[in-house]
Amino acid sequence: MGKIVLPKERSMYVTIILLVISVAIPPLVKNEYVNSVLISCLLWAGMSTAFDLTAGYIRVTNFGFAGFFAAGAYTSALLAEYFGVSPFIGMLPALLVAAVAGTFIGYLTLRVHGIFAACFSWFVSETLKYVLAATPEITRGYHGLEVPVFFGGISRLPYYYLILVVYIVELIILLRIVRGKIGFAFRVIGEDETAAKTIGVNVTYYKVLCFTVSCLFAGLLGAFYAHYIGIITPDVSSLSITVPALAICYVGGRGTLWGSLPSAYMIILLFEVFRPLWAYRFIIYGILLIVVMIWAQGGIASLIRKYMKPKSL
Amino acid sequence: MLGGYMTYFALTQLGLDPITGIALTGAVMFFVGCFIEKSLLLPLRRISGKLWMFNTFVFTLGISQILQNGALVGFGPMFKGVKSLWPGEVNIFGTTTSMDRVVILFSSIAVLILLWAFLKYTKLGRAVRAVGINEEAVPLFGINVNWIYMFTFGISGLLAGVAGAFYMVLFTTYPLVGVTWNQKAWIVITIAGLGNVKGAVYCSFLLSLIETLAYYTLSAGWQSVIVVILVILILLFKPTGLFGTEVKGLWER
Repeated sequence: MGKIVLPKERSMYVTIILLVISVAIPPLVKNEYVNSVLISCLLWAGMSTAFDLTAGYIRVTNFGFAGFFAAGAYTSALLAEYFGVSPFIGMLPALLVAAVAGTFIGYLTLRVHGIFAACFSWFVSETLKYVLAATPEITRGYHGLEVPVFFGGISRLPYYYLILVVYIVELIILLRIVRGKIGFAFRVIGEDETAAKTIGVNVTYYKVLCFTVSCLFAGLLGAFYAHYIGIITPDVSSLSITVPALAICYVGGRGTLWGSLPSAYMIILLFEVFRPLWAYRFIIYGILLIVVMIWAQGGIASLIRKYMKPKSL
Repeated sequence: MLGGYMTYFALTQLGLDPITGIALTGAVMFFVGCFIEKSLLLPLRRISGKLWMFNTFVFTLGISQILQNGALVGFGPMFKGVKSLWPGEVNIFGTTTSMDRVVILFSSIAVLILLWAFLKYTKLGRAVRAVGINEEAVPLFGINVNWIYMFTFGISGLLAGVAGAFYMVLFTTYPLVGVTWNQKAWIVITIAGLGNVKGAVYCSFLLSLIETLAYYTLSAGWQSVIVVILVILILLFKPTGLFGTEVKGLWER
């Protein structure tokens, strides 16, 4: 890394402050429960950030996001199970498999229209679920595949720092991509595809690239999830993974990348504080989505920006 | 899903006869569709401007999450069904089927023909197709676009409700009953090409034959793999669908 990515707007400091607090909490609080809550916050924040790259920049909602997540999870898990590959090395093939799948599906569907990509990847992810469930001799189907975990011992602290590093690396890489020439191309495509073609942007190339990068991180986080939870079922490829990522991304603010972290903290902590709400979580995600889309299109990020603006002027 | 539940309650709780029950479901679902369009999608379309298609899509996913999980909480995860409505069986070319299936087959055909005739021959149907082709030019002819959107959404709600009712009569209904059907419907229109009722009918037959064959020759779960491969091939070689599209426009933006 040559240059350090510096925040270009003041509102981004919210995410950086949150990250700094996140680094400091576990040594101060020393509570395993708090650690596991923070891990799930960061995992979902990472998922939503990757989701945001397609939803917020090229404006393709990837309903099959869970499919790539599951591809990563199962690749790493199966490698560890049958070939004894260390989970840390297993993350690499997981990420590659998800990226290759992303390129393939992206190339097939993104040439046509955005909505085709959304629906088709959704269907592929559902199909992946059926396949995983239908091959119990390899994947153990719904009995669940037991996966060796990253670190022995009972403490969750190492996992916490691992996901923190993964999240920070992801955020930095994505921010660098988005702020360069490629990011500009993504933005133009998202605003107006015809205009992008007119000024000589290779629309299909950039769309597939964007999709691939997003899927790559989905695969990486999938591998982390598999080796963190220790058991995976075909349900990791269902809409119940995609919907929270989507809702957190929309609530955080599309097209910001950094908005996902405050949003994930808010939503996950909401569910942790009000445990009974957990049963109704998908209804709440749906309501949040509707509220955000009608009354607050920019999500949390735009609220933060609005609040910060008078000072920066 | 809602249609299935509504018919279930109309038949078991209100004790209506099947035809009234299904018709009532259709009517209610029409208004539910109109209401959702008017109250939620219209403001969304106003805000989103050019990108409304993309936003509407995510939005309806949110609505379906609320409905499905609401049903899961409200009605419980149990399967709900009714006993055979039209008892007896029929013998067609040496194969015996229950009367229910025959009645529903012919009702479905009737609904399809009605839909096709409506789109093809009535003024309103022509307006619907016109909005599909070019929504910016349509107001010049004195058609209220927002009203047409609402009406079309209502119609699709009606059809989905009636389909849910039919399905409930033959099989059972449960909160997530709509998920696979939603995907099947989407696959059919991908294969057929959008805005093409006739093509969609042919493709539904094709798809169900392929699925059944795959189900017989391979084990369960693999039929959707075959279908996905089929869709991949079609998207590779003929991205606009097998039957081409009559209505372009909306989906090409």
